Amino acid sequence: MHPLAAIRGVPRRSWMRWRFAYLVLLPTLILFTFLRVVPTAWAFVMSFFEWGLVKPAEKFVGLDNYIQLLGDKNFQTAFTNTTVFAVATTVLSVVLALVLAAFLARVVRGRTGGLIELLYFAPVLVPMVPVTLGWREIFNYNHGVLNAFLGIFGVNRVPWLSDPDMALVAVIILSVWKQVGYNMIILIVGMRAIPQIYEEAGAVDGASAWQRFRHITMPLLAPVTLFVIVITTIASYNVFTQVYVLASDVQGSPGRLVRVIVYDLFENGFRFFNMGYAAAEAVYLFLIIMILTLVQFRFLRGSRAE
Amino acid sequence: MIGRRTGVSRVLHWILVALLALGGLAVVFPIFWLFSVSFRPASELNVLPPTLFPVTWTLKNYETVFARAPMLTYLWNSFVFATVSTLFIILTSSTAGYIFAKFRFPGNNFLFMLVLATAIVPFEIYMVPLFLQMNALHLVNQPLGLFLPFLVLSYGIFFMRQNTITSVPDEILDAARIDGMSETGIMIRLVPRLLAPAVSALAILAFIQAWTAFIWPLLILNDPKYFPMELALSQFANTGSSNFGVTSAASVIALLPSIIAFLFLRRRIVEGITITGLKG
Amino acid sequence: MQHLRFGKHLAAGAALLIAVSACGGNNASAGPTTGPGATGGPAATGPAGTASADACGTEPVTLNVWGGYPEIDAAYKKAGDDFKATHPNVDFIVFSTDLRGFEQKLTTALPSKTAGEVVIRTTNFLARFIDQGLIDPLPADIKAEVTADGAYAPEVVKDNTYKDDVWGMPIFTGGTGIYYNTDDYAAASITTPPASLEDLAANARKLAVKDGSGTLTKSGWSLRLSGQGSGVAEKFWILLIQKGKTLIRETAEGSGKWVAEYDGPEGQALLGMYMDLLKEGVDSPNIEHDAKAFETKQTAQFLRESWVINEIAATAPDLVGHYATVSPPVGDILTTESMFVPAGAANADCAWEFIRFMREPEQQMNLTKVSGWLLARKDIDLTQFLSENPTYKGFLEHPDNFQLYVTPPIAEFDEIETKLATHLVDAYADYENLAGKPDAIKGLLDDWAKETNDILSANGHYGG
Repeated sequence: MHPLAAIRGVPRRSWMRWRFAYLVLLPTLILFTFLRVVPTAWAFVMSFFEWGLVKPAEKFVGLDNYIQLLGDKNFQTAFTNTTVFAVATTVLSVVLALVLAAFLARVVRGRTGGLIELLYFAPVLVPMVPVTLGWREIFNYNHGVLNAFLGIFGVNRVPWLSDPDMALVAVIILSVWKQVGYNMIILIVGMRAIPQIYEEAGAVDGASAWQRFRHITMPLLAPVTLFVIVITTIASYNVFTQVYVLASDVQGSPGRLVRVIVYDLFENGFRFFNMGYAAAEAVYLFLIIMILTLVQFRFLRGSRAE
Repeated sequence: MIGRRTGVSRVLHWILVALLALGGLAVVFPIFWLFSVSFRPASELNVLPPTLFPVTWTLKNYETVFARAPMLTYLWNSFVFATVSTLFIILTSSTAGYIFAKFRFPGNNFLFMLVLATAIVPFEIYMVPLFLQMNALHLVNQPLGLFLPFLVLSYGIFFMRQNTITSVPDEILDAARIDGMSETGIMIRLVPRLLAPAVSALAILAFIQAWTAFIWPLLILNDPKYFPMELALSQFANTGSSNFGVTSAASVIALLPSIIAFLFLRRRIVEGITITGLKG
Repeated sequence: MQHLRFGKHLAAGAALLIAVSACGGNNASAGPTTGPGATGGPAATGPAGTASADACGTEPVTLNVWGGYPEIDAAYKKAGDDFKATHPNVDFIVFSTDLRGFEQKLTTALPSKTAGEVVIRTTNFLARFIDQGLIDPLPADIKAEVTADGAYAPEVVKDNTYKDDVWGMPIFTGGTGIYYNTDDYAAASITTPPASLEDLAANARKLAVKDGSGTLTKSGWSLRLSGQGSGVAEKFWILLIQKGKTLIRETAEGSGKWVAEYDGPEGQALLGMYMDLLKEGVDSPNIEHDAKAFETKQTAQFLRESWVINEIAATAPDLVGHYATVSPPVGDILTTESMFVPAGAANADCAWEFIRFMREPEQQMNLTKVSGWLLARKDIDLTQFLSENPTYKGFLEHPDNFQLYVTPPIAEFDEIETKLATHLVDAYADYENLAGKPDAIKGLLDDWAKETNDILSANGHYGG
C-alpha cells in the first residue's frame, strides 16, 4: 500500500480548498462569461428583436425574423450552397482521408510513408488567405494552370469561378484540399492505435485485405471516424474565408460570390444593419450544426452497436 | 505487412507508392505554384501553356510588394497576436482544467458543463453580439479588442482537464501537500511539469488558431497598422490593380513563416494536432 | 448604456449645431461677397487661411483620411503636403481599400466611432449613418459655398441633399462614359461612335472575336455580370436610363414615396438584351471584364467612369491613342463623392479646415489630373484641360437634353440595389435558359420588383 494512503482520511472539502479553487477559476470564468456565455445568450435574445447597430432592442418582433428568413431568397441560396458545400466537403475529405490513411498506416510505412504523409499534410498548416489567392489564379478561365492541364486531355475550358455551379465546385475542391490532410493524420493515428493482433487474426482466417479493412479496421475506427466527420461538418458549415477571398471584387476579374450562411449573416448584420435578423440567422446555423452533430452521433453509435 | 511478399506484390507495392507520391506532389502543387509565379515578370503571367518555372527569374514582384505594404509589420502583428493568445489560453486552460479535474467544490459540475456547452458553439454564431459588446467598451479598432476573444478557449479547458485526470496522479499531489507545498506552489511548479506534452500540443493549436484568424480581425480592426497578416493580405490583393505576380509574392511572404515553422517543428506540430484532436 | 451614449451624442451634436450656426451667421453675411470671388482663389482663401490656424491649433494633429478609391490617394497625400505648408503641426494618414471593403469598414467603424477624421463617400451611402446621428453636419460656411449659385451642378447638390439638408463637401463626381477601341472599330468598319443603346449592341455583335474552337477571346461589349455589392445593379440602371427609365421612381417630385420602375417593358427589354448578347456569345461570364479587359484588349467596348483613362495611361500605355470615349446617349447617373467628418471625431475643426482646403481650385484640378476622376466644382473652367486631354470628351461633352439622375435620397436604397444586384448576377448566369423567353424574364423582374417595393414599404417609402 502507498505510504501516503493515510492522508486520504483527511476531509478534503475544506473551505480553504474551495476558496483556492474559486480564486484560481475566477479570472478565467469572468473572461469566459464575458466572451462566450453572454454573447451566445445575446445572440438568442437579439434574434427576437429588430436590432440596429446603434439602436439596440428597437422592437420586440417575436419569431418574425425567423419566419422572414425562411422566405428570404438570399438565405435560401446561402442555406442550399452551404449544405451542398458541407456535405460534399465532408464526404470527399473523409473518404479520401480514409483511403490515404489505410495505405499510409498499413501498407506504405517507414521513411517513404512519412514523407508522403507530410506532402498531404502540408495544406493543413498554411494559412487560408494566401493559398486561396493561389487557387484563384489556378482556377482562372483563360490562363489558369488547371484549365491548361485539363486541356492536355482534351477537356474544354471550365469556367471555375464564373459559373454558379462550378464556383461552388471550386470552393469545394479548395476546401477538401485544405482539410484532407488533417483528417488523414487523425485517422492514421487512430488506425495505428488498433492492435495488429485483430487484423492478424483476420488474416489467419483467410480474410482478404479489403475484408479485413471493412470488417475489422472500420468498426474499431468508428469513434475516430465519427470525430473527423463531426469536426469537418461543423467547420464546413462555418465556411467564410475562402469564399470571401475567392470572390473578392478585383476590377475585371471574373469571380462570383458563392453565398454561404456566414457571408449572408455578415451582410445582413454589417451592411444592412439588421442585427436581430443576422442573430436569427446565426441561431439557425447553430441549430443546423447541433442537429447534424446529434444525428451523426446517433447514426454512428447505432452502426457500431450492430 | 501481412503475408508473403512475392515479386508481383512488390511491383504493385511500388506502383502504389508512386501513385501516392504523385498525389502528394499534386497536393503541394498550389503552394509550389505561388512560389513559381512570384518570381515571374509580368510578361510571363499569361503565357499559354504555362511553364513550370519562370523563364526569366525576377525579384521585381517582391520589390513592388515591399514598396506598397509593410509586410514585416503585418507578420509581426500576427506574431504578437498569436503569442499573446497562446500564452493566455495555456494559462487559463491549464489552471481551470487542473481545478476542474482535481478539486471538488459546489458548482464544479455546473461550471464545467457550462464551459463544455459553449465549446460546441462556433464563433460565427456569437460574433455579432460580441462585436456590440466590444463596441460598448470602446474596444473596436484596438489591439485589446482583437485579443480578448482569443484569450480563452473552451476546448482548451476541457482538454487540459482530461489530461490532468490522466497524467497528474493524486498521489503526487498529496505527497507534495505532505511536504508542505502550498496549493499555489503545486499548481504553478509541480503540475506544469506533468502536463508539459499536453501544454505544448495546446500551444500549437492556439497559435495556429490565432495566426490564421480572419473574420474577427476583419470585423474589429480598421487601422492597417494593427492588421495581422491574413487580413492585410486579403486587403492587399483587393486594392489597386496588382497583377498576379505581385499578389503571389505577397502570398509567399505570408506563407513563409508557416512553412519554416513546419520544417523545423514538424514532429511537434503533427503530434500536437493529433493529440488535441484525438483526446476530444 | 447604449441609449445613454446615444443621448450624450445627440447632445454633443446639438451643441455643435449651435456653435456652427453661431459662426455661420458671420459667414452667411460674408457669403455673397466672397461667393463670386471664390473662383478667383486668393480673395476667398485669405479669410479661411486665418481661421485655419485656430482650427488646427499648434499641437501635433494627425488626420486620417479614408476613401474607397486607392487611385486617388496620391491626390490626398499631395493636398496633405500642401496643407502642411500652412499647418506644420498636422500629419496625414491616407487609407484606402477597395470600395466594397471600405463600405464594410464604414459600417463597423462609424457606429463604433473609430473611423478616420475625414471620410469620403456618397451622401446616399451614409444616409443611414446620418439617420443615427453619426455624421457631423456641414459647417455653415461650407454649406453656403456648396449651395451658392453656379458653384456645383444642381444634381451634385441634389445628390448631397438628405432629409432637406445638404451633407458633405462634394469632392469628385463619377459620371459614365462609353469607352471604345478605335482600332477594333476600324477593323469592323464601324465609322461613327455609338449613339444609342441599339448601336452599342449592334456594334458589339460585329466586334466580338472567337478563336477556332468557338471560345470568345474578345468580347464585343464587356457587360457588368458579376461582383459583390451594388455595382451590377448600378450598371443595369445606367443602361435603363438610355431607355428613359430608372430603377425606382418617386411618385411625385418631393413626395418621398417611391416605386420600382425597372420591371416595366423597358426593363424587360433591357434584361432580354443582356441575355441575347450572352447567348450569342458577344460577351461571356468566363472572360476578363471591365477595365482590365479593355486594357488587355480583351473587349472592344465598355462603360465606366473617367478614372480608367488614367489607369490606361499607367498600365496600358500602348492603348493610348487607340481608344476614345463618348457620352451615353440619353442620360447618366451622377454620383458625387463628398468629404464628411464623423460625429465626435477628434480634431473635427481641423478636419473641416482640410476639407475647405480640398475645395480650392488647385487641389480640385490636381485630383482630376492624378486620379482621372472629375472634380466636383462646376465653376472651374475645364476647356483647356479637355483640349489637352481629348479622351475626356465622353465625360465632358453631352448631347442636348442629357438627363442626369441622382441616387434616391432614402437610406434603404443601398439594400434595394445590392439585393437587385444579387438577382441580376444569378439571372445573367442563367442566360442559356432565359434568352428569348420574355415571359420568364418578366416573371423574374416582377419578383424582384416586389422585393424592392416590400423594402420600400418596410421603411415607409412605398408609393405604389
